[in-house]
Amino acid sequence: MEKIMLCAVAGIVFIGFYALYVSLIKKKNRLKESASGIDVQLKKRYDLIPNLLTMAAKYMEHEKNLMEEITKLRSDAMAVNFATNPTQKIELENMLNHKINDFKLSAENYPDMKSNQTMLTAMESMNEVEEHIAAARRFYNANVTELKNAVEIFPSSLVAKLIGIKDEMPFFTADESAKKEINAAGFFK
Amino acid sequence: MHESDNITRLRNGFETYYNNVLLPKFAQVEVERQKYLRYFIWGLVIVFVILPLVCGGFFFVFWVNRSVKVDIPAEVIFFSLLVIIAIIASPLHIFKSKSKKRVMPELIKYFGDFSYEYERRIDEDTLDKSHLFNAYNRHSGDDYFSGTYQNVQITVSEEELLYHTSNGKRSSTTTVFDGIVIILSMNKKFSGQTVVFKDWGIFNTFHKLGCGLQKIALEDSVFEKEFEVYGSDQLEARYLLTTAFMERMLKVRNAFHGRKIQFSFFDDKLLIAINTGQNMFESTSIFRSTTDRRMVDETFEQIVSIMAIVDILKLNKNPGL
Repeated sequence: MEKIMLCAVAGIVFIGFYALYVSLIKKKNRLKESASGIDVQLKKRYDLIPNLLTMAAKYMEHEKNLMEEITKLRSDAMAVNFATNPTQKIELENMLNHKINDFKLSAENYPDMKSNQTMLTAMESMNEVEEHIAAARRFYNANVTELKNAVEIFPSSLVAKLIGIKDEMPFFTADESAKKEINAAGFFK
Repeated sequence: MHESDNITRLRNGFETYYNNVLLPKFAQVEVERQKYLRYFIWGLVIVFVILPLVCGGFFFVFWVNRSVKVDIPAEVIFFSLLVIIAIIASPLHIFKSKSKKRVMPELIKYFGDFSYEYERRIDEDTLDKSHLFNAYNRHSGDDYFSGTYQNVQITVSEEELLYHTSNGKRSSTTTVFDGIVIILSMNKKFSGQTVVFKDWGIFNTFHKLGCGLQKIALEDSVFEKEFEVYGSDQLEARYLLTTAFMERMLKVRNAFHGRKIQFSFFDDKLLIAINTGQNMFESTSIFRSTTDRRMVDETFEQIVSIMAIVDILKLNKNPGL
């Protein structure tokens, strides 16, 4: 009888352990997937930036420095992968965001450019891509929270330690300047 | 809730539109109304005065002459009663149909480039695709109008979905949905599906089983308390349901005073199902003079509240702005 009881308890413990193990692995993989999703979305923006700057260069001659800074930051950010080096990528992305916002603000001073149809389309695409980036960021942050909770809360924290899963990935938070709303509506009047 | 400039403009201009365009239509309808009201009253007189007298006469004849026996089957009596009810009610139906066909196209044109069809309904394929409705086998709809408001394509229809079961002796009918369905073109392109159900608490699993989509956990706690979101793509759902858009959806919910309201994003469209449980867009009644503004104003407000959804959700604005 005792043996049966012991086996039953061991069975329950094993099933519990396995369920927590599966859940942790799923959370870890989902986080990886969402991290690579951010890279995909960011790449779309990297592809758009050169076109936008080429078009803007015709009008915004006085903003040459700003455009050069954006080009350099883009190259730097492109060289780093979010899934492998998230902290550095977030830092570079926030700097790039900051400069793009400055660019959008400066663009307000060039009415000729604002009325250019190609420029309008490019800005629309940029806004669209930024919405996708925001969505990817939210999905990633939701997954970071899930894994963090699982790694820190008992009993899954115990299983996480045993199999070596850590909450290494940071939250992708936009810096304060990037959070400020840009009045790009001027482009679409 | 703060009203948008578009809605204020609509309200301000309606009085002039009513006097110039709608009033002449209502004058024509008033003549018809009086005619059909007379038919209706005559029907009542025939059924409740003349028919009982005739029946009484027959009864008296048979009572005097008891040797004649007449055995009328119950089915014949039941069928005759149905026919009588249908005859009495027919002026009401005919008037409703005629007045709606005459007045509603003009009323709806006030809101933009809209067309109105009284007897049309939203196709079942679209309703099924939305995943918002449980199984149904009876579908009726009316007051279908579609057009463009603020560059947003809108289709609206009053729909009733029923589930009827019968096992020979017993039959029962359950109302699956009774309200309005609104289909709006979206200002964002997407390929998957995102469904926003009303939160059912511990019964939310039924939503998941019903739609076969994955649960989308969103960060807005107020929104999450009210709704339960499922989607085919986690990223796309968040692209559609931005924090700002979730706030706007809550505003729409509040605008309809807590009626059961659910949303489904698919085929680049947003389908909104509002369970009103009442007959909407009734701008005339056979029992009320068409010069009585109350019903017209009520219908106007109902349509305004639908158009306001476009403004609240900012579907006429470029995304991200």
